[in-house]
Amino acid sequence: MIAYSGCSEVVLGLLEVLPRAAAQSGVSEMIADVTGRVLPDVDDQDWEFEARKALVARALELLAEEEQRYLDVARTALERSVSIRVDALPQPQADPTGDSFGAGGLDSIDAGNGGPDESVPVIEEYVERLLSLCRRYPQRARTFATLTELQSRRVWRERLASGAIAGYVADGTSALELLAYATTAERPGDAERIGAIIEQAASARRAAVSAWQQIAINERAMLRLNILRLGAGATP
Amino acid sequence: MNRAFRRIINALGFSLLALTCVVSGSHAFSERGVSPGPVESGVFDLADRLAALSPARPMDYFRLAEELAYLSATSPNQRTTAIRMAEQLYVLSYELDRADGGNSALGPSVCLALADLAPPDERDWLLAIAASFGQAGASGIELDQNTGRTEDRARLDAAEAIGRFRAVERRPLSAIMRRVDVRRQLIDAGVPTRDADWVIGLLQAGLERPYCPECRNQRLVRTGTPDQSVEQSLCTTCFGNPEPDPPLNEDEMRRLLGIEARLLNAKPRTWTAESLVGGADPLNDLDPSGLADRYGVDAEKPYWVSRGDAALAGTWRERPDGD
Repeated sequence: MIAYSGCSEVVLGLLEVLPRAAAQSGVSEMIADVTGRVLPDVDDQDWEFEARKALVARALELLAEEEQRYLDVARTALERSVSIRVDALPQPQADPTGDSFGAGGLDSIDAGNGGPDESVPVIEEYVERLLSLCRRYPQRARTFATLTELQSRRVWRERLASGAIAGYVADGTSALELLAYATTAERPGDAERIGAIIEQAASARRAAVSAWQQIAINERAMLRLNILRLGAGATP
Repeated sequence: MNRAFRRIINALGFSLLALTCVVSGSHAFSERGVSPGPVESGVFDLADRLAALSPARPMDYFRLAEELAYLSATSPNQRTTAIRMAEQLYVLSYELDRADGGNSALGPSVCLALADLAPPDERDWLLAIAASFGQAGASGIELDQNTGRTEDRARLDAAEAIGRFRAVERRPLSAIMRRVDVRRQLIDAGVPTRDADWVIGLLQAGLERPYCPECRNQRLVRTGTPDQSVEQSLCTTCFGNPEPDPPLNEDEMRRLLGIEARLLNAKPRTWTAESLVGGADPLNDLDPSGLADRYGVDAEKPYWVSRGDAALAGTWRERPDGD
């Protein structure tokens, strides 16, 4: 059945017959195969809800493929750029607090082919590497926030973000803040400028009318911070 | 935990406030010959306390906001005005506290209080900001989006109605429409009104869609003569696919599936598909300094100057003299 997972007619057909289908393990396995999602046990009261949800999501993925595909092309390009930045950072050290979120590899870049993808997005790997870098630096009085605050914001941003796009915005914002923290530690003389970059980005994100704008705002602010980190335009 | 905790605090607070009002509050108003609204009469010395607010005492703003918030629930006529004032007082208390000491001690309490007053689509954002302060008790905060969704049978029924429409199954569609307020479910799920009305129009048209004259939407017809064995074959009129009339084009099919996905909180994995279900909406940031913007509060104007007899009619000013 997995051979039909890319066929919208099959997915829509299953969606059509779902209310009449018995909650049996064979049916559940078929839907799980076609959608690439894990379903609860058929005895679970949520089974029908989750099965329908999985089929609707998969049908949308398939029907959307021909439309606005540039969005996933842009996502791939963004993730490639992030992976280069990941390469430039040191490997994460073991977290003394045990507060680890696991790590995705560089091979987690999704080519945007519309298929099921359970891998960890590379932007999460970037956040993890930055967090590890920040832990190496002592807290400075002039930093715009403490590392504990940034970690807490990261956790709750991820919980609040619902979906892949919002998740990217959330991780991008966390990456920006952690990069700012590290840059402040490396270049304390630029603390004020770094604080201003963060404040401007936060203000622009609040005024943004779409997640795309927020992603662009974060990328632009990270670029400005990286320019500072490289010593260009920094306070002497 | 946050809800339960606040419910207990609210109940205790309301009892004390009610007692205070009976003993002294209403009496104070009647002596002045003012005819206050229910909220004014419920909060002891409201006008004077508003006039006495000072940025040096952020907790005064917070306490007054708490009292207004408790009482707004019992005064439906002035609910909007009282809640609006409570929200402004909460945000001012946070901003003034922050400006005073910078330790943001009031931050989590302010966000939890605002969450209690907020519409469902903003509640999670405020709860997450409260939790992101990282203070004790944050781990007990639960976001609404992670609870109770899958138990909502009415949402599933509404989604099934859309599916029955696509499959042109008139009778089951009619049964669901009698049982469930599909429009209400759509609006509650965050579907824009225009889209909800479009869906309802489709479903109602679907109820009147004539059956296929040959198979009556059974897709198969029985063939054969009395002396032959009966066989089933695909309907030669609708070819086993009794589509809605007029048939949905690809854009409409995507739009309908997107709305169904919102009902079920389904999350496609590609950005392209997710953008069809509102996934590209901006993410509210966990930045408490954005509260003032969101609630239209100017922390540079912490003094309340009332106009006329109604305590809640007035403006916030930079100086206590109202200039």
